[in-house]
Amino acid sequence: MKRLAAIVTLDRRSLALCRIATGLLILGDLLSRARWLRIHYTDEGLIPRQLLYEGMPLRFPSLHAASGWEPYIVALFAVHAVAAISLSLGYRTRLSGFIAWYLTASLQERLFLANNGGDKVLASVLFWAMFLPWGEALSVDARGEKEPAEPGVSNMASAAFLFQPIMIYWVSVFHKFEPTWLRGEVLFYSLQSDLYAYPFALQLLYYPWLLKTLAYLTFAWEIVGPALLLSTRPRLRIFACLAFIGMHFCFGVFLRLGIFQFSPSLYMLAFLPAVAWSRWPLAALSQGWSHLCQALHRRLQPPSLKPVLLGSQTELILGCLFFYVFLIALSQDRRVGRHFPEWVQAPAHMLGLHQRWTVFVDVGNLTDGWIVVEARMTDGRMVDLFSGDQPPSQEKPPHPFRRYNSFRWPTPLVVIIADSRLHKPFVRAIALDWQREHPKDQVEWARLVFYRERNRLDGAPVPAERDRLWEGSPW
Amino acid sequence: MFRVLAALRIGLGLAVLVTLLRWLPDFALFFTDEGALTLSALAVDTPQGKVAWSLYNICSYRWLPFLLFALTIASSLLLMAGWRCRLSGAALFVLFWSLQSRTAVASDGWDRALWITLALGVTMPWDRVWSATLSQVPLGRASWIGTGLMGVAVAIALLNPSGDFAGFLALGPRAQPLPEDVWYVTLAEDGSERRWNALDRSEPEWERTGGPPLDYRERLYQGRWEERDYHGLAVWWVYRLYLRDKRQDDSLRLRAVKLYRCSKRTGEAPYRLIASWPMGLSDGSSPPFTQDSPREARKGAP
Repeated sequence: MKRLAAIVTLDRRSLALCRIATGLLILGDLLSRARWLRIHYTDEGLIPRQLLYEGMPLRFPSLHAASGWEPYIVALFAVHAVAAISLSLGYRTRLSGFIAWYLTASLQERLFLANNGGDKVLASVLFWAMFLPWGEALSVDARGEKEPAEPGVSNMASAAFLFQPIMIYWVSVFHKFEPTWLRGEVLFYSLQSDLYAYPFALQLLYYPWLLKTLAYLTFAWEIVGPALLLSTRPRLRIFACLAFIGMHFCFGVFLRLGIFQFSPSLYMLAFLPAVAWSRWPLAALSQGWSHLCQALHRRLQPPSLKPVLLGSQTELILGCLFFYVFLIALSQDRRVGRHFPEWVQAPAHMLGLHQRWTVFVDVGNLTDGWIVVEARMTDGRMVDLFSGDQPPSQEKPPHPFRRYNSFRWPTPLVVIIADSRLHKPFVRAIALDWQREHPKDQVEWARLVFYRERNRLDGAPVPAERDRLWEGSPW
Repeated sequence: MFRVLAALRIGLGLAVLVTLLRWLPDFALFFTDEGALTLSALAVDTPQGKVAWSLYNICSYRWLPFLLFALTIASSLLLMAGWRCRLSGAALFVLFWSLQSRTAVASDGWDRALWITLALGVTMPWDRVWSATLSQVPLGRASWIGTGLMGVAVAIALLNPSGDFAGFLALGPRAQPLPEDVWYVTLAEDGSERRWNALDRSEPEWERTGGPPLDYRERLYQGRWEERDYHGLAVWWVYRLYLRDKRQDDSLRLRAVKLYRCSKRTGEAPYRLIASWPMGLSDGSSPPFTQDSPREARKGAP
C-alpha cells in the first residue's frame, strides 16, 4: 500500500508549476481563438446556433451557445482570460480553477468541430486538478510559499491525475494496432497531408528509413514511456517526463497540432519529483515566482487558504469516475463495433470528460486536399474567398491556409467537407468575413469546391479530383 | 420600510409563481423543442432570436427545459419564503429571464416588468423581516449604489428598445396588441377543397363580431404578425401544431398554409392574402423545410 501511495504521490510545487503553465496555456489558446471569434463562435460563423439545434446536439451545457451575439462572446472570453491569469497566479485558486474548467469545456463544446486531442487533455487537467491542492505552493493564496510543510499529496485525485495521461497513451496504443502503424507508414501519410502538415515537412519524405524508424519508436515509447511515469526513481521519472514533452514538441514542429503540442506536457510538469526543485531551472523559477506572489498577496489580501481535503466518499466517487472515463475512452473504436448507449455516455459529456484517443489512426484514409470558394461579386469579378486569389486558381496553392492560418481550421474543414448541412453556413461565414474586410465588395454567388488528393506511399503526385460541394447564393 | 420591501419580495415571488403556473399547461408546447416553437425556428426567424440570451439554449437534452422550469418555480418559492434572498432572487432573475428569452415572442410588458423588478430587488435589503434567513449584514452604501447601477442599466436597455442590447435583455421589439378591427386567419388546405383554421382546426373566421379579449395564446401568434419578420415563425407554429394533431388523426393532410390579414377598416381590403407556404407533403413524414429555413421557403410566397 505504501508503495502504491509513493507511486501516486505528487509534489505540491510540481502541481503549482502545472497550474502556472495551465493558466498560461489557456491564455495563449484564448488569444489564438480570439482572432477567429466572430467566424467561429457567433451566429455569423461556421456553425450558427440554428444548426446546433437542428441535429448537432450540444452535450455539455455551453454558456457560449446561450447567445450568438458577438459582444456576449467577447465578454465570456474576457472572464475566461481573467480566470486563467488568476489561476496562474494562484489567486482564489479553487474558484478560478472551477471557472477556467467550466469556460474551457463550454468553449470547446460551442465549436466542437475544431477540437483536437490537446483540447481534451486540457479539459481533463482542469477537471482532475479541481480536487488537488495545486494552489498550496507558489501562489498568491499561499503567500508565495516555496516549500510547503508537507510537499507530497497522495489520494484518489492524484491517482486519477497520474493515470489520466497513462490511459491516454495506452488507449491510443490500443487503437494503433492497425495497418498504417504496424507497417510503419503513418508518417508517410501524415506528412503528405496538405491540411495538417507544414509545407517543409515534405522534405522528410526523402528519408523513408527515418520515417519508419520514428513511427516504430513512437509506437514503442507510447507503450513503455507511461510505465516509466509510474517509477518512484526520480531520475527515471524526470527522463520520462522530458521525453514526453520533447515528443509532443517535435510532433508540432512538422504538423499543425496547435494546443496538442503543449497540453500533454502539463501533466508531465505535475509529475516532476521533489528532487527536481533543488536544481536549476526550477529552483530559480520558484524563487522569482514566489517573490511575485508575495508582493501580490500584500496588495490583494485574499482570504486565508483552506487546505483541499477529500473525504473517503469523494475519493471513492473519483475512483469510480476515472474507471468510467477509461471505459468510455476504450469503447470509442470502430473495431469494438459497439458503443455504449447515449445515456451511459451522457455523464462523461456533461463533465467534459468524454474522450476519444484515435489520433493519427487510419491516416491512410484521411481526407486530404484543398478547398476553393469561388465567388462572383456584384461587379462581375471572380474571387477565391478562402485564399484571396483573384481570379480563383485551379492549381494547388503553395499554402492552403493563407487567409485562415491557424490550427483551428483543418479539423473543421474535414468535417465541413463531409457534411452537406455545413456547406452553405461555411460559405456564408467566409463571404461575410470577406465583405467585412472588403466593404466595397458584395458577394452575389459562390461555389464551394474541394480538390481531393489521394496520397501515395512514394509521395508521387496524383492528379487531384475536383469535387463541387455546393453552389448558390450564400444569403 | 423593511416591511414594505419584504412585502414587495413576497408579492413579487407570488406574481412570478402565478405567471409560471399560467404557463404550465402549455409549457411543452411553448418552451420545448417538442412543442410548436423550436429553438432552431426561433434562432433564425425572430429579430431578437439572434442575440437573446437564455439558459434554455445551452445544451440539447430534452429534460433541460423541464429542469429549468422546475428550478424557476422552486426559486420563486424560496424567494417568497425569504431563504437566502440574494441568492434565490438572483437565481429567479436569471431563470425567469431565460424562460422569456427562450420564446421571447410569447412575453409581454408584464413579464418584463417582473424581471426588471427582480433585478432591482436583488440589490435591495428586502430580507430584513419576514424571511427564513434574516440578513444581519449592516446596510451599506453598496446596496443603494447597486440598486442605482442596476436601474441605470435597465434604463439604457429601455432607451434602446430595438437594438442588440435590448434584444440581449429579451426586451426586443415591443409587441403591439392587434387593433380590434384587424385580425389574422391562418388557412390550412389539404388539396381537396377542405380548408380549416390551422391554429385550432375551427372554421376560418372571416367575419369577427367583437369576441373575447386577446389572451396570452393569441398574443403569441397574432400580436407579432403585423411585423413581416415573424411570418416565417407563424408557419413553423402551424406546422408543429399540424404534426401534433396528426398523431391523433392520421387522415389529416396538409398541402398549404396561407396567412390572411382581415380588416374592418375603411379603405382596406376586408381580407388580403399576405403570405402562402406550399407544404409539399401529404403525410407529414418529413418536414416541409428539409434544406432551407422557413425564411427561404418564404421567398416563393406572393
